[in-house]
Amino acid sequence: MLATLADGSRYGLDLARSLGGDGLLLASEGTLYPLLARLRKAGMVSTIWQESAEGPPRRYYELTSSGREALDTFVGVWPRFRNAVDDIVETGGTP
Amino acid sequence: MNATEHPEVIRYLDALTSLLTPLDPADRAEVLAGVREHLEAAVAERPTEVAQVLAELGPPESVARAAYAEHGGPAAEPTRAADRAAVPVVVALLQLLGLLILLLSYVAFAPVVTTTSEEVNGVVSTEVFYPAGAAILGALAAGVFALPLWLAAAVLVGLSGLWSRREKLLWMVLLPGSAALLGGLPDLGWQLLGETGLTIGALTGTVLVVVAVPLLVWRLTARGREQCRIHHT
Repeated sequence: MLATLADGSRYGLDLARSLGGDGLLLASEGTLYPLLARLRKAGMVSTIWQESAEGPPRRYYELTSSGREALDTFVGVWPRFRNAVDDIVETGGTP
Repeated sequence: MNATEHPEVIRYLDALTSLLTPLDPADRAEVLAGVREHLEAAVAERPTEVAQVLAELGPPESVARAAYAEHGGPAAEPTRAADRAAVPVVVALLQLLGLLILLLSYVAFAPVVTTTSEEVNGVVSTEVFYPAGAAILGALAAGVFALPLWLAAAVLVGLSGLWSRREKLLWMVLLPGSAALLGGLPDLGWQLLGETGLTIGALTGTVLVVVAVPLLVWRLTARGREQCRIHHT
């Protein structure tokens, strides 16, 4: 979720599309909004209003500094985590 | 058409609003605002695919479950007495019993139309006398009899978290509304059309009340029971 915001602020529908498509990361698009609300409460993302070309202004979500820190930590840990899982799945965990 | 004017969208948002009722108001408002904006933007792009947009969003129940998971929902709290599964049924019974009493006592106090015929020089003249406001008085008297049931239902509904504010309001106005229809329509008919109007008004009022109230009771009860299921899963 945080990684989808790494390159700048985005609005809800746009985020839902990035995460939603295959039903793997989000059970359904609607479940994104409770998650965003929690991340905002936890200080990981903040919201800003931006004018949109068509229709009323939209709420854009962007990373806060602590959100970026959390993302960096995750990005650092993730390859090791992924490799560890791959090893176990491929070899059954035997050295 | 604006997304928020689309009946399916309105129904979806209403359902979600009522499912999120037990949530902290600020959390609830934030989740709802996110979903509402999503719908506005998505429907603006694909105005002919509202059903598809809603399907991708997922059922309101799954959004509500995610919200409870993220923010700590009512599932974590012990069930309050007013949120038990029996509450919607009890409220429905109180309301229906109230309606029955309202109708029966209305009939008992029914406005009386006096018809006097007089024969003068071989010409029969008929005069219909109806004391204006009699139906209103009848409905008021009937309302007094139904009042204890209404109060009991109102307290239960007021304490319960199973309905949204709008639905609670609907519960509260069902019986007073019925009394107003039963009392007001005959008099209105009388004022407009005389004796025929009186009959039309009385019939319309009765049919409306007998058909619409049980229907609304049924829907509101179903809604409350649905809420119970969500909370207890």
